Amino acid sequence: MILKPNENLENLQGLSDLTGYSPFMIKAMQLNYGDEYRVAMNAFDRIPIHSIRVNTLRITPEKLKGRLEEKGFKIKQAEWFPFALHVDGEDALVKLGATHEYLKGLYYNQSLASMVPVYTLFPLPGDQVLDMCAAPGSKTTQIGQMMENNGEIIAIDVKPSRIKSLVHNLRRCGINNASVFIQDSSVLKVPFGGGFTPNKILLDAPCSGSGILRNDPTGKRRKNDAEIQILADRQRKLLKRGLDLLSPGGVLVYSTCSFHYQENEQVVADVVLNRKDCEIIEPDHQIGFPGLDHAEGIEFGYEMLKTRRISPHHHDTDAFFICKIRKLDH
Amino acid sequence: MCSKKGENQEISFTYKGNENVIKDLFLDPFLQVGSDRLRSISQIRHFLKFQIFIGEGGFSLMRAMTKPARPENRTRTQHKGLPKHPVSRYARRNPFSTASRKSSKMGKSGKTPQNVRKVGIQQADRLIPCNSTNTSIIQSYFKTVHPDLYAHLAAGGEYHLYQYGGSSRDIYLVPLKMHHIVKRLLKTYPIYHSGIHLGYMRRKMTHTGFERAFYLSYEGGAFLYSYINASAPEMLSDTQSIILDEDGEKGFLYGRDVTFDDVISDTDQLKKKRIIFVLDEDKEYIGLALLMVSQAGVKKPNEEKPKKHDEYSRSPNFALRLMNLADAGLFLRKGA
Repeated sequence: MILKPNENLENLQGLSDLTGYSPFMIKAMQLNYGDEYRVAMNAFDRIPIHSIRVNTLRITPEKLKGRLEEKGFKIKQAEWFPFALHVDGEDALVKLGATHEYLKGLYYNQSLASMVPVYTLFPLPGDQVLDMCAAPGSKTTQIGQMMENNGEIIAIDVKPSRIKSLVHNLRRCGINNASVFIQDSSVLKVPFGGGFTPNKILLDAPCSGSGILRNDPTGKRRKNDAEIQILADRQRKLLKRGLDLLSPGGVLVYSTCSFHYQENEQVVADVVLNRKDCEIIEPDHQIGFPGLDHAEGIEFGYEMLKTRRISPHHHDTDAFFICKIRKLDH
Repeated sequence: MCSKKGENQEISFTYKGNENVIKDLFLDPFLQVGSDRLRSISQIRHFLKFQIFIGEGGFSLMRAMTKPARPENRTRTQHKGLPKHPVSRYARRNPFSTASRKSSKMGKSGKTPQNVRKVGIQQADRLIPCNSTNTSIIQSYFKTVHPDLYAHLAAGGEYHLYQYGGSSRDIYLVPLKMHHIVKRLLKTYPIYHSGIHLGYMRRKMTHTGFERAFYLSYEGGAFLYSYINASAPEMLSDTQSIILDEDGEKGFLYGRDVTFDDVISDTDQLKKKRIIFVLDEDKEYIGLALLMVSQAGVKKPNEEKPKKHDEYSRSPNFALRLMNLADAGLFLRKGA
């Protein structure tokens, strides 16, 4: 990271006072969004649109829509996925996380952008899928849903406190083909063992969470990149181990809910471009815009244009980074 | 060192005096405590006293009185067979030594007690294949859903029972494909959850005290209900279920018991001691209930005749209620 605390930030103080963002965060917005940084900052300040993912294992989107509308929710079909709905619960008597339908596991509260990584991975029934940082389970349950409870999922997380949430959500959503354990994924044994050879891996890496400022505005006041550097190192380790574990011909999706290039393009460039056994491939969908091929004088390579960025000012959802990597057969 | 057959406990004595005499005493087949590592004549005297006056019980009394040996004066050259690190070995082999007590209670540092119950998930806890006792308890529990259900599930061979080895005693039903992986992965990784959470083992209070019992979880019920519907529809006729109206569903999901007024399906044929699947108006599974029969009147002792309608507990002497066993509201009440 070239940007250091309080470097060239004095002239951003005025904007900082106006917007509530720290000078460091404004500078980071400038670096990652270029000329659009003010639009992006404005978009991050908007009230988030609630979206849900319909658990198609249990109900169809049409049926759920009808049932939630009866309870006073205004439902609108989301644009990217047939199983995603936008929900306006202003007139509803109950909260979206306390309806009977929620308790029965008919849907999961999840932002639209958060559904993209699993959709990019596109797990199918019979696959062996490894979710390296699984808790609290939004993406794991989506994987189980797309696999129709057929195949094997191994879901791992390092924090015992978060594992409980993961198991809770798996149970609520009726995901029957997942095994869970507590482990640091960056030190998993290679090969995985037990006859489990993952052909699809999801690495939704722990990140600074700068992409979800709509839900967690405390990130606006971040003062420096000390934590980002630590996280980036961890992400590199995780990605490296994930690629080691991936079976030949398999696909790994790396994603973060951060807009900092240090956690996204730079991590991928450092790990993937130094390996000869894998390549970055284009996702099969048209969601998002290409990633950055350079920032602050650092060249990440042309390959980075195959990655995808989702931005609040373009897509009216959280900021996400998604990269699809395929391991070569040889 | 002398030992008694059939017991793993061993005693050490300090050797002083005529070795041959003591050897003879200890190698006596009647005493059956023979050993060539004798330590203390006074200890042997004590032993013989107890053996004479108290008989077999003398041995255990003797053991209780025995002090730990002091191996610090011994060397490998003086006594063949003595351990290289006597203290640690004695601590391991002699359960009455203070060193042993210390090592069993304290951690490596000697400060942290190991036997203090740890809170939360421990990384060392993992799933283990369900033991035979628990399996038989589960088997008999399944009869409360349908008499042939367990046999039907077992015949398919598609699922395996696992139990969590940690502080909780959760029971999991692991699909066959998953089982092959889990079985091997367990050697390396502490798997915390796998497959379907079927239920849990808990203590249950009975007339004679506490005994181990199995309780079906909400998801376990959901799985069994869908399994019966999909794979064994012939069992549906002998499986109990009730349908609740909207108010009943609301109350039930808040954890309340079911009132008969809220049940829109027929309840006359419900039997006690049989699991009831609770459905909402759309016939979707929402939980489990049990017909509870509490005796309102005084039942005559040694009554010869069976009570009228006793099978369905419809005698006026009984008060009925449908107890909530598990419901989807658990996810909200427990919090994710």
